[in-house]
Amino acid sequence: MTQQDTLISPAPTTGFSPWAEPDREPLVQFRNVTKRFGSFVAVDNVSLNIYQREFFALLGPSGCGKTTLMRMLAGFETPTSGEIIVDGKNIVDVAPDKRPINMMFQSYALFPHMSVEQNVAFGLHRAGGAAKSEIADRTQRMLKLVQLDAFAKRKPGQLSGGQKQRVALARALARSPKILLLDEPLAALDKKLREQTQFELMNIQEELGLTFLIVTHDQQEAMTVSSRIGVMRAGQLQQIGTPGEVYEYPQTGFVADFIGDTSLFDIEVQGREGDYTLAKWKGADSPVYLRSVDDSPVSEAAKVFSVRPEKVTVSREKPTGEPNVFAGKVVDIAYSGSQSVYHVELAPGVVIKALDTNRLRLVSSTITWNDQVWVSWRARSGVVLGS
Amino acid sequence: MSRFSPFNAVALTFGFAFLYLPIMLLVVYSFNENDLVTVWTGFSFKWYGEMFANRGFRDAAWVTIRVALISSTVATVLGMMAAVTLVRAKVFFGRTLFTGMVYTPLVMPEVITGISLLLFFVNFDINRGMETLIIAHITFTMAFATVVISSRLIDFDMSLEEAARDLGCSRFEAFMRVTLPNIAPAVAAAWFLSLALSLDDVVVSQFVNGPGSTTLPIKVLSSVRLGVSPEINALSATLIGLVTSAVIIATIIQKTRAVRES
Repeated sequence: MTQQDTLISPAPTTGFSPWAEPDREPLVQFRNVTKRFGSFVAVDNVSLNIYQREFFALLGPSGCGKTTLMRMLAGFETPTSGEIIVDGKNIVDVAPDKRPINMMFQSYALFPHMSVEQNVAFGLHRAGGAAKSEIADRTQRMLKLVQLDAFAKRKPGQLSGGQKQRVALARALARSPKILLLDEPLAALDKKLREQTQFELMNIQEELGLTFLIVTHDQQEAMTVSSRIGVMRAGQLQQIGTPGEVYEYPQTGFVADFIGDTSLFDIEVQGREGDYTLAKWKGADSPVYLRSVDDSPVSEAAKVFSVRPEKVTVSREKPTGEPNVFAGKVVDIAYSGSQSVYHVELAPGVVIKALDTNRLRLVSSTITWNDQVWVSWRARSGVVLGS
Repeated sequence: MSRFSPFNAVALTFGFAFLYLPIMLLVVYSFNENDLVTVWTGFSFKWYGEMFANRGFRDAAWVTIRVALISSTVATVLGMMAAVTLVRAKVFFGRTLFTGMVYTPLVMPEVITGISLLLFFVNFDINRGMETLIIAHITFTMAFATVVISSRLIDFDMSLEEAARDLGCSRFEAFMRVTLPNIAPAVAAAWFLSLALSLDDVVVSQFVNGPGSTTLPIKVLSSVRLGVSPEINALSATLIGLVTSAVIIATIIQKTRAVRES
């Protein structure tokens, strides 16, 4: 099998990337926002810019403060300190009903006593002075957009989970908000429907040219839908970047581990050999070879080395041409149909994960438990982290 | 479900007999022609005629109805406000105390409620009459209304109200357009409960009513002191008839609505 080339340079700035333009005014700015509940710090000094037409994902484990951050933008929580600027105005003291922002709730929060149609039209009656025919028109358009025009007269109790989700989306979109907030919008759907809905969300966002902010704990969802991801942990933003950036260039061990799968090793930088930096590790007596994207020396501050399973090749024969080749024993195989992840023990207690696409049928797979194998990866495939 | 058995039949018969035999006896005797309650001589509507002609009864009934309607409505509104505050408000100083205080009238002996209200009115030189009666009834029925409405509010999904706020409603609008329609059954139940409590209250009313504001239950009780007259039988039978038809109508409305929903 051939190893995919992973010598990518940091995020090619093609297409949509307003965050890379220094003159661009962000649509939303969180400035040093902190939120405390009693002695608990839910959001800890977060600063974040979100630009027009972005699909921004806040990603993190439950309790990391992502929902609180979103609720502060919606107006349901008030920051303990800091500013939230939307369109150049601080909106911290603006009531939720006066903000140009709408939210799709995790529970959907459909009004059970109203029909689908009435739910969608609810926000339009409030918009002030809109003519009846105009409201009906807009409601119809929204229902068409989410393909629910046939269900207009039903009550929420008579809809499936996926249909409820679409009503909630139509209702939140009806007022044409500047920003649409989505709180775990797909968490209640099954996997197939969730994936399909992710693409629908992306299409709708593009079609309407709106700014979306999604909160999710599902990293796959965040990677698929968003233009940029903010990874949160314990109230702090750990990293902001495009899906490619946070995946390929995680800045902390937490990000590396939370997004995708990875093997982490403690390292100690020893010296240079040509373009490579050598580091001592517990995986083998021989050092691990590191190489930065621009061939500059790897900092001594590097303490952790991370390499993703798909960057690691596992083989029976000893590969040539790579500096990082190590022997080990297969201790576990995670078979998931399209691919297998081999857990290879390099030294007692040191295990590396290697992913192999199952191009051939499992029966013809040659590597199995307790086999002696070789693992290898390119020197640029790994990432070093401070901690 | 257990199947029909002789034991069940016997239990059912005795149970209902225990509950309804005395009432049936009363209804039957209300059609008695004789002046003596316990001696049956013949069928007659005589006592019903007497009852409707009795001005005292008519006035008392009118007082009772007015007091019940006003006090139950006010108690429901106040109870709803109390329930919203106690269920929704973030923890504030003395919240537990307030919650306890709202529930205390439920277990407080009525005599004590009555005496304390009387003392209050006397102390502040408030003339006893319709007004004091209404205030007193609001005081003790409000606690019941609060309990009924809060039990529904606890289950109410707060994000519904947030969604309404998000879609452009003020706090008040969100409550009126989304929360209230969804807790309406509990509010109606609270109102009916307050109404029923007010309609048949004797103990508290006795302390706080004044001349010209005698309620029907008090009137009946004082008439009975001089011996049960067949007229009281007729009155009681009429009340039973009213209550029964109210229950039947409520059940029919509920049934038809359930059918329409599904």
